Amino acid sequence: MFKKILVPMDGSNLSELALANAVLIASNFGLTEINIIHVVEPFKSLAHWVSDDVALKMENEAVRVARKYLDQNVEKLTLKGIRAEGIIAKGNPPEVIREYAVKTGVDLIVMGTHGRTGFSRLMFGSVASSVTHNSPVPVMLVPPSTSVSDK
Amino acid sequence: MYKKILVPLDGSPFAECVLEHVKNMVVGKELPEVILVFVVEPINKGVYDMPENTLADIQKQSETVSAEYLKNTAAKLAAEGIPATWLVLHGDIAEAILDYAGKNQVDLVIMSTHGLSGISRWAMGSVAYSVARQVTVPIMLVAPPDCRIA
Repeated sequence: MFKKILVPMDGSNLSELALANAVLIASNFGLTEINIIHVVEPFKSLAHWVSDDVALKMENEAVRVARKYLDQNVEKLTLKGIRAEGIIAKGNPPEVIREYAVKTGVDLIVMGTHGRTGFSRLMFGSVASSVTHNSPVPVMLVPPSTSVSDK
Repeated sequence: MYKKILVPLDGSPFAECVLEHVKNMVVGKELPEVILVFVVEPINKGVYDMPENTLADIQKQSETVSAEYLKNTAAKLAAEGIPATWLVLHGDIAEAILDYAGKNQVDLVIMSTHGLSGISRWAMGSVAYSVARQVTVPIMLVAPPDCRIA
Protein backbone atom coordinates (compact mmCIF):
# COMPACT_ATOMS: atom_id res chain seq x y z
CA MET A 1 0.00 0.00 0.00
CA PHE A 2 1.11 3.54 -0.63
CA LYS A 3 1.53 5.36 2.66
CA LYS A 4 2.89 8.65 1.41
CA ILE A 5 2.18 10.15 -2.01
CA LEU A 6 4.12 13.13 -3.31
CA VAL A 7 2.42 15.46 -5.80
CA PRO A 8 4.63 18.15 -7.35
CA MET A 9 2.38 21.12 -8.13
CA ASP A 10 3.17 24.12 -10.30
CA GLY A 11 -0.18 25.89 -10.40
CA SER A 12 -1.30 24.34 -13.68
CA ASN A 13 -4.65 22.65 -14.24
CA LEU A 14 -2.75 19.50 -15.00
CA SER A 15 -1.13 19.42 -11.58
CA GLU A 16 -4.62 19.63 -10.10
CA LEU A 17 -5.61 16.67 -12.23
CA ALA A 18 -2.58 14.83 -10.87
CA LEU A 19 -3.68 15.72 -7.35
CA ALA A 20 -7.17 14.36 -8.10
CA ASN A 21 -5.58 11.03 -9.02
CA ALA A 22 -3.55 11.03 -5.82
CA VAL A 23 -6.76 11.71 -3.88
CA LEU A 24 -8.42 8.79 -5.63
CA ILE A 25 -5.62 6.46 -4.53
CA ALA A 26 -5.43 7.92 -1.02
CA SER A 27 -9.17 7.59 -0.46
CA ASN A 28 -8.95 4.02 -1.60
CA PHE A 29 -6.43 3.17 1.09
CA GLY A 30 -7.74 5.37 3.85
CA LEU A 31 -4.53 6.06 5.75
CA THR A 32 -2.46 7.53 2.95
CA GLU A 33 -0.82 10.91 3.46
CA ILE A 34 -0.42 13.34 0.57
CA ASN A 35 2.49 15.77 0.40
CA ILE A 36 2.26 18.50 -2.21
CA ILE A 37 5.46 20.22 -3.19
CA HIS A 38 6.16 23.37 -5.16
CA VAL A 39 9.71 23.96 -6.29
CA VAL A 40 10.82 27.56 -6.70
CA GLU A 41 13.61 27.73 -9.25
CA PRO A 42 16.49 30.13 -8.61
CA PHE A 43 15.38 33.22 -10.51
CA LYS A 44 18.84 33.60 -12.00
CA SER A 45 18.50 30.28 -13.79
CA LEU A 46 15.52 31.75 -15.64
CA ALA A 47 16.93 35.24 -16.15
CA HIS A 48 20.66 35.33 -15.45
CA TRP A 49 20.99 39.06 -16.18
CA VAL A 50 19.04 40.32 -13.17
CA SER A 51 20.81 41.61 -10.10
CA ASP A 52 21.03 39.52 -6.94
CA ASP A 53 18.59 41.63 -4.96
CA VAL A 54 15.99 41.59 -7.75
CA ALA A 55 16.35 37.82 -8.01
CA LEU A 56 15.88 37.48 -4.29
CA LYS A 57 12.78 39.68 -4.37
CA MET A 58 11.29 37.59 -7.17
CA GLU A 59 12.00 34.38 -5.32
CA ASN A 60 10.46 35.68 -2.13
CA GLU A 61 7.38 36.71 -4.07
CA ALA A 62 7.23 33.26 -5.68
CA VAL A 63 7.45 31.66 -2.24
CA ARG A 64 4.68 33.91 -0.92
CA VAL A 65 2.32 33.03 -3.79
CA ALA A 66 3.22 29.34 -3.60
CA ARG A 67 2.54 29.27 0.15
CA LYS A 68 -0.98 30.53 -0.41
CA TYR A 69 -1.56 28.11 -3.27
CA LEU A 70 -0.29 25.10 -1.31
CA ASP A 71 -2.24 26.10 1.81
CA GLN A 72 -5.45 26.24 -0.24
CA ASN A 73 -4.81 22.78 -1.61
CA VAL A 74 -3.87 21.36 1.78
CA GLU A 75 -7.12 22.75 3.15
CA LYS A 76 -9.12 21.05 0.38
CA LEU A 77 -7.41 17.75 1.17
CA THR A 78 -7.99 18.14 4.90
CA LEU A 79 -11.69 18.70 4.25
CA LYS A 80 -11.70 15.38 2.42
CA GLY A 81 -10.23 13.74 5.51
CA ILE A 82 -6.79 13.27 3.99
CA ARG A 83 -3.65 14.06 5.99
CA ALA A 84 -1.75 16.57 3.89
CA GLU A 85 1.29 18.80 3.97
CA GLY A 86 2.46 21.55 1.62
CA ILE A 87 6.18 21.96 1.03
CA ILE A 88 8.06 24.74 -0.71
CA ALA A 89 11.61 24.02 -1.79
CA LYS A 90 14.17 25.90 -3.85
CA GLY A 91 16.31 24.47 -6.59
CA ASN A 92 16.17 22.42 -9.75
CA PRO A 93 12.69 20.79 -9.77
CA PRO A 94 13.55 17.18 -10.76
CA GLU A 95 16.50 17.08 -8.34
CA VAL A 96 14.54 18.59 -5.49
CA ILE A 97 11.58 16.26 -6.06
CA ARG A 98 13.81 13.21 -6.09
CA GLU A 99 15.74 14.32 -3.01
CA TYR A 100 12.54 14.98 -1.08
CA ALA A 101 11.10 11.60 -2.08
CA VAL A 102 14.19 9.77 -0.85
CA LYS A 103 14.57 11.77 2.34
CA THR A 104 10.99 11.52 3.53
CA GLY A 105 10.10 7.99 2.49
CA VAL A 106 7.60 8.85 -0.22
CA ASP A 107 6.41 5.68 -1.94
CA LEU A 108 4.61 7.08 -4.96
CA ILE A 109 4.96 10.28 -7.01
CA VAL A 110 1.95 11.48 -9.01
CA MET A 111 2.50 14.30 -11.47
CA GLY A 112 1.37 15.80 -14.76
CA THR A 113 3.13 14.89 -17.99
CA HIS A 114 4.08 18.52 -18.47
CA GLY A 115 4.10 21.78 -16.60
CA ARG A 116 3.04 25.33 -16.81
CA THR A 117 5.96 27.55 -17.70
CA GLY A 118 8.45 27.92 -20.47
CA PHE A 119 8.56 26.50 -23.97
CA SER A 120 10.53 23.38 -23.05
CA ARG A 121 7.78 22.40 -20.65
CA LEU A 122 5.11 22.42 -23.33
CA MET A 123 6.45 19.12 -24.55
CA PHE A 124 6.33 15.89 -22.65
CA GLY A 125 9.67 15.56 -21.09
CA SER A 126 11.86 17.83 -19.06
CA VAL A 127 10.60 17.65 -15.50
CA ALA A 128 8.33 14.60 -15.81
CA SER A 129 10.80 12.45 -17.70
CA SER A 130 13.72 13.56 -15.58
CA VAL A 131 11.84 12.64 -12.40
CA THR A 132 10.80 9.30 -13.89
CA HIS A 133 14.33 8.47 -15.03
CA ASN A 134 15.86 8.98 -11.62
CA SER A 135 13.01 8.10 -9.34
CA PRO A 136 13.58 5.56 -6.59
CA VAL A 137 9.81 5.00 -6.40
CA PRO A 138 7.03 4.48 -8.96
CA VAL A 139 5.89 7.60 -10.80
CA MET A 140 2.35 8.00 -12.05
CA LEU A 141 2.20 10.39 -14.97
CA VAL A 142 -1.13 12.06 -15.66
CA PRO A 143 -1.78 13.38 -19.18
CA PRO A 144 -4.08 16.35 -19.88
CA SER A 145 -6.68 14.13 -21.55
CA THR A 146 -7.46 12.33 -18.29
CA SER A 147 -10.80 12.62 -16.59
CA VAL A 148 -11.21 11.58 -12.99
CA SER A 149 -14.26 9.80 -11.71
CA ASP A 150 -14.82 10.22 -8.01
CA LYS A 151 -16.25 6.78 -7.59
CA MET B 1 -10.97 3.93 -8.31
CA TYR B 2 -9.43 2.68 -11.52
CA LYS B 3 -11.70 0.16 -13.17
CA LYS B 4 -9.57 -1.27 -15.93
CA ILE B 5 -5.81 -1.62 -15.45
CA LEU B 6 -3.57 -2.61 -18.34
CA VAL B 7 -0.26 -4.28 -17.47
CA PRO B 8 2.16 -4.82 -20.35
CA LEU B 9 4.77 -7.49 -19.57
CA ASP B 10 7.78 -8.69 -21.52
CA GLY B 11 8.73 -11.79 -19.59
CA SER B 12 11.67 -10.15 -17.80
CA PRO B 13 11.92 -9.97 -14.00
CA PHE B 14 11.95 -6.16 -14.29
CA ALA B 15 8.60 -6.12 -16.00
CA GLU B 16 7.25 -8.61 -13.51
CA CYS B 17 8.20 -6.53 -10.48
CA VAL B 18 5.36 -4.19 -11.50
CA LEU B 19 3.01 -6.91 -10.26
CA GLU B 20 3.75 -5.76 -6.70
CA HIS B 21 2.38 -2.36 -7.64
CA VAL B 22 -0.58 -3.84 -9.42
CA LYS B 23 -1.40 -5.49 -6.10
CA ASN B 24 -1.01 -2.10 -4.41
CA MET B 25 -3.58 -0.57 -6.70
CA VAL B 26 -6.20 -3.24 -6.20
CA VAL B 27 -6.09 -3.65 -2.45
CA GLY B 28 -9.18 -1.54 -2.19
CA LYS B 29 -12.88 -1.58 -1.94
CA GLU B 30 -13.70 -2.87 -5.38
CA LEU B 31 -11.60 -5.04 -7.64
CA PRO B 32 -10.70 -3.53 -10.98
CA GLU B 33 -10.31 -5.54 -14.14
CA VAL B 34 -6.60 -6.34 -14.57
CA ILE B 35 -5.47 -7.20 -18.09
CA LEU B 36 -1.97 -8.61 -18.66
CA VAL B 37 -0.67 -8.20 -22.17
CA PHE B 38 2.37 -9.40 -24.06
CA VAL B 39 3.10 -7.99 -27.49
CA VAL B 40 4.52 -10.35 -30.10
CA GLU B 41 6.42 -8.31 -32.67
CA PRO B 42 6.44 -9.35 -36.31
CA ILE B 43 9.72 -11.02 -37.26
CA ASN B 44 11.81 -9.01 -39.65
CA LYS B 45 12.15 -11.35 -42.59
CA GLY B 46 14.75 -9.23 -44.31
CA VAL B 47 17.30 -9.67 -41.57
CA TYR B 48 17.07 -13.43 -41.25
CA ASP B 49 16.12 -14.41 -44.78
CA MET B 50 14.33 -17.50 -43.56
CA PRO B 51 11.81 -19.52 -45.50
CA GLU B 52 8.18 -18.56 -45.10
CA ASN B 53 7.13 -21.67 -43.15
CA THR B 54 10.04 -21.32 -40.67
CA LEU B 55 8.93 -17.76 -39.97
CA ALA B 56 5.38 -18.93 -39.44
CA ASP B 57 6.65 -21.58 -37.03
CA ILE B 58 8.65 -19.07 -35.00
CA GLN B 59 5.68 -16.71 -34.88
CA LYS B 60 3.45 -19.50 -33.70
CA GLN B 61 5.96 -20.56 -31.08
CA SER B 62 6.30 -17.00 -29.76
CA GLU B 63 2.56 -16.88 -29.34
CA THR B 64 2.38 -20.20 -27.54
CA VAL B 65 5.22 -19.29 -25.20
CA SER B 66 3.86 -15.83 -24.40
CA ALA B 67 0.33 -17.15 -23.89
CA GLU B 68 1.70 -19.75 -21.48
CA TYR B 69 3.69 -17.06 -19.63
CA LEU B 70 0.68 -14.76 -19.30
CA LYS B 71 -1.51 -17.63 -18.17
CA ASN B 72 0.95 -18.51 -15.39
CA THR B 73 1.33 -14.89 -14.32
CA ALA B 74 -2.44 -14.45 -14.22
CA ALA B 75 -2.68 -17.62 -12.12
CA LYS B 76 -0.12 -16.19 -9.67
CA LEU B 77 -2.20 -13.03 -9.29
CA ALA B 78 -5.41 -15.02 -8.98
CA ALA B 79 -3.83 -17.02 -6.15
CA GLU B 80 -3.40 -13.72 -4.31
CA GLY B 81 -7.01 -12.80 -4.82
CA ILE B 82 -6.61 -10.60 -7.87
CA PRO B 83 -8.49 -11.89 -10.88
CA ALA B 84 -6.63 -11.04 -14.07
CA THR B 85 -7.33 -11.72 -17.69
CA TRP B 86 -4.56 -11.90 -20.28
CA LEU B 87 -4.06 -11.49 -23.96
CA VAL B 88 -1.38 -11.62 -26.63
CA LEU B 89 -1.22 -8.58 -28.90
CA HIS B 90 0.59 -8.20 -32.20
CA GLY B 91 2.66 -5.51 -33.86
CA ASP B 92 4.92 -2.71 -32.69
CA ILE B 93 5.01 -2.94 -28.88
CA ALA B 94 4.22 0.66 -27.96
CA GLU B 95 1.65 1.03 -30.75
CA ALA B 96 -0.14 -2.18 -29.79
CA ILE B 97 -0.33 -1.11 -26.13
CA LEU B 98 -1.61 2.37 -27.03
CA ASP B 99 -4.10 0.99 -29.50
CA TYR B 100 -5.50 -1.50 -27.01
CA ALA B 101 -5.68 1.08 -24.20
CA GLY B 102 -7.45 3.57 -26.46
CA LYS B 103 -10.04 1.15 -27.75
CA ASN B 104 -10.89 -0.62 -24.52
CA GLN B 105 -11.54 2.12 -21.94
CA VAL B 106 -8.40 1.27 -20.00
CA ASP B 107 -8.07 3.90 -17.23
CA LEU B 108 -4.61 3.09 -15.88
CA VAL B 109 -1.47 1.56 -17.36
CA ILE B 110 1.20 0.13 -15.05
CA MET B 111 4.52 -0.81 -16.58
CA SER B 112 8.24 -1.07 -15.94
CA THR B 113 10.49 1.54 -17.55
CA HIS B 114 13.08 -1.11 -18.34
CA GLY B 115 13.04 -4.63 -19.48
CA LEU B 116 16.11 -6.73 -19.07
CA SER B 117 18.65 -4.68 -20.97
CA GLY B 118 20.32 -6.53 -23.80
CA ILE B 119 17.98 -9.46 -23.62
CA SER B 120 14.63 -7.81 -23.46
CA ARG B 121 13.05 -5.85 -26.24
CA TRP B 122 12.22 -3.15 -23.70
CA ALA B 123 15.86 -2.23 -23.29
CA MET B 124 16.62 1.34 -22.23
CA GLY B 125 13.03 2.14 -21.43
CA SER B 126 12.23 3.28 -24.93
CA VAL B 127 9.01 1.29 -25.01
CA ALA B 128 7.73 2.70 -21.74
CA TYR B 129 8.58 6.25 -22.78
CA SER B 130 6.91 6.04 -26.14
CA VAL B 131 3.80 4.74 -24.40
CA ALA B 132 4.01 7.47 -21.71
CA ARG B 133 4.36 10.21 -24.31
CA GLN B 134 1.23 9.24 -26.19
CA VAL B 135 -1.10 7.53 -23.75
CA THR B 136 -4.28 9.43 -22.84
CA VAL B 137 -4.78 7.93 -19.37
CA PRO B 138 -2.54 7.92 -16.28
CA ILE B 139 0.46 5.65 -16.52
CA MET B 140 2.42 4.38 -13.55
CA LEU B 141 6.06 3.83 -14.42
CA VAL B 142 8.15 1.63 -12.19
CA ALA B 143 11.90 2.05 -12.58
CA PRO B 144 14.56 -0.57 -11.84
CA PRO B 145 15.62 0.72 -8.38
CA ASP B 146 12.26 -0.40 -7.14
CA CYS B 147 12.52 -3.52 -9.20
CA ARG B 148 15.86 -4.86 -8.11
CA ILE B 149 16.23 -8.54 -8.53
CA ALA B 150 17.36 -10.05 -5.28
